[in-house]
Amino acid sequence: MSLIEIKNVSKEYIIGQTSTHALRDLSLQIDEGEFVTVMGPSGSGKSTFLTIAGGLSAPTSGRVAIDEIDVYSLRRDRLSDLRREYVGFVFQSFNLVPYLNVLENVLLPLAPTGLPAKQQASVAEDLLTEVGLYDKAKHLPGELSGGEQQRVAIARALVNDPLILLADEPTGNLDTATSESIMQLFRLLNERGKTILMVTHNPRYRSYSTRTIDFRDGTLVGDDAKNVQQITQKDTDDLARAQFEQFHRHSVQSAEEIKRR
Amino acid sequence: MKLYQIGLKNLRRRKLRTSLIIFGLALAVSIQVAISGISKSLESDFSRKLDEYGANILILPKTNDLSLDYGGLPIAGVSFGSAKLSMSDAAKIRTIKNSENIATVAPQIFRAAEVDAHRVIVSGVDFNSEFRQKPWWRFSGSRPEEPDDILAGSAAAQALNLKPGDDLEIAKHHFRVAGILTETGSQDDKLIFISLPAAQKVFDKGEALSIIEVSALCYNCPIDSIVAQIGEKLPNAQVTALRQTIETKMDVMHRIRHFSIILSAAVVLFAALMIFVNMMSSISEREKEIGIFRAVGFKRKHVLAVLIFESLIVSLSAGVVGYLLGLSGAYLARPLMSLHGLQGFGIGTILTALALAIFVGVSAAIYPAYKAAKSEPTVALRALL
Repeated sequence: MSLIEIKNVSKEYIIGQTSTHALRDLSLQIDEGEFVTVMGPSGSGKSTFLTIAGGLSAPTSGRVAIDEIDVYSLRRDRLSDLRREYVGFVFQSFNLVPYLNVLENVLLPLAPTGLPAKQQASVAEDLLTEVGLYDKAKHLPGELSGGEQQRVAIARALVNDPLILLADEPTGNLDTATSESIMQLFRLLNERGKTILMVTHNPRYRSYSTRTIDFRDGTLVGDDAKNVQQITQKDTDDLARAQFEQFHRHSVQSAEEIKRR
Repeated sequence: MKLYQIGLKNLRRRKLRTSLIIFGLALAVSIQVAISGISKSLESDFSRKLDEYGANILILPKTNDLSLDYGGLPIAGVSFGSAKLSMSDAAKIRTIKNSENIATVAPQIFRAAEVDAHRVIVSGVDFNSEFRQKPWWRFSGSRPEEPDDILAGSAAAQALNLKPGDDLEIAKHHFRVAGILTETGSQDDKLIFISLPAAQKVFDKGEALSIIEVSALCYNCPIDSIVAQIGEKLPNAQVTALRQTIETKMDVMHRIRHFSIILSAAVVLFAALMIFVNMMSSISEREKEIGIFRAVGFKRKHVLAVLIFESLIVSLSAGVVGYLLGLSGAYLARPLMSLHGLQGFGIGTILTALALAIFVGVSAAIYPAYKAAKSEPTVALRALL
């Protein structure tokens, strides 16, 4: 069963007298656990695809279903609920709220939920620990490097524990080393079971994904689906921990350790 | 993390803008508070002065025989009426429920008398009450102090060729002319005023009175109520309110009130426009941020709640600051306006100031906030599309 099902989706932007076809009759299925790299030149429709798949922008025609829910038949409020429950977004320009500190930015999706403050803080602190930024919880985004800001954005995208992570050029504003670390983090999350759709211009990052799709002029021109490796949950956890600790050798500390300091 | 915390954080981030909005709205509230307070004080002060300025209630003996006129108002012929007014009646006026509204009670006796071959009207008055009730009286000579001192109206003095210090015989009693009234243009010009005890003695009227003039302070009470209360205390008297005086006074009061309302409304409207423009520009600046809220799962009502909460905080602060500014402004303006005291700065005004600030601030923010809440989350991704 597909987690995301896109059927005959078209998107047309009309600006004044001019109409632009961003997507043309796209049909696609994405299964749970896939890490899909979305590639294509600028203006090919890949970001439009991402926003439509994530419930941010309704298609001109066609149907999008997430977990068998017809996304765009939902009322606006229910659509907001669906976005919050199923989808986490990571943007190229991080899109952190500048006047909220790191912890508050991570907590942002929980603000309308009515979850008790202690529970909220516990979830957010665990995530910040995972992305290696627990000790910068009180910093404002402007005080962080680009890579750190993107990690905060990833933690924010994960705070609701969504099934799907959508990332639009998450490494677009980062240097190579930082980009690699972010990509490893995505791979780790995918190995833990997150379904990831990532738009990128960089072909190097195909290697992190399980599937790559290519867009040209709003049409899907390539789909090199790979087999998702069947591994057990224990294997996933062990692998994830090993990779994570290797990558964050200097920064990973448990919340308890930091509190003790 | 609660929605209101986002609003508070944003207000703290934009300290200058927040302060300016608060100051702008506070200024409007303060002007409204100051104008309202000053106009109330002015109204009260002015009303009190007008109330003291001449009588607004006349009390006559109840009779059908009306033979003498006083200022166009009929004075009962004391000789014919069966009912009479007395000094004890005058005292009873001070015992009505609204006695604190009674400024002056001026009992009077009128009697026609032959003086130096001229027939004049002699009026026995309580000079203290009379001078309080007629602050426009000016005279040459001195104010009557002794029991046999008289004050002559200008026409009467001219007819009798009187000057201050002259002796005058009225009904075989000797008096001294203490002062001559300058022309008033009223019936007072033709009268000769003597003290009430002297008049009672000269005319052998005992405690009988012709008329009682009352100045009632009607700022806070309807004159009809005072008239009814006096009527109850004096069942044998005819109590009449001088409508024209009262209505003129009320007209002046209404004009003051209308002027202050129009001025306040203009200032408040200006403030509302200022906040509206400010909110619109602020929303436009925060478009991306609102897009982020929507992208991470905020519903429209959540965005609306954050923005309305912000305007509520700004409005409440402006209400408090505005009240204090308005109070200070009115206090400073008090000597310039020659006001004795300030009115209208109690708890009611505080609540009104807060309500006004909230009404103006929130209602000016509703449309921009609604417009912002309607924006789609794709705005946050616009640069990438």
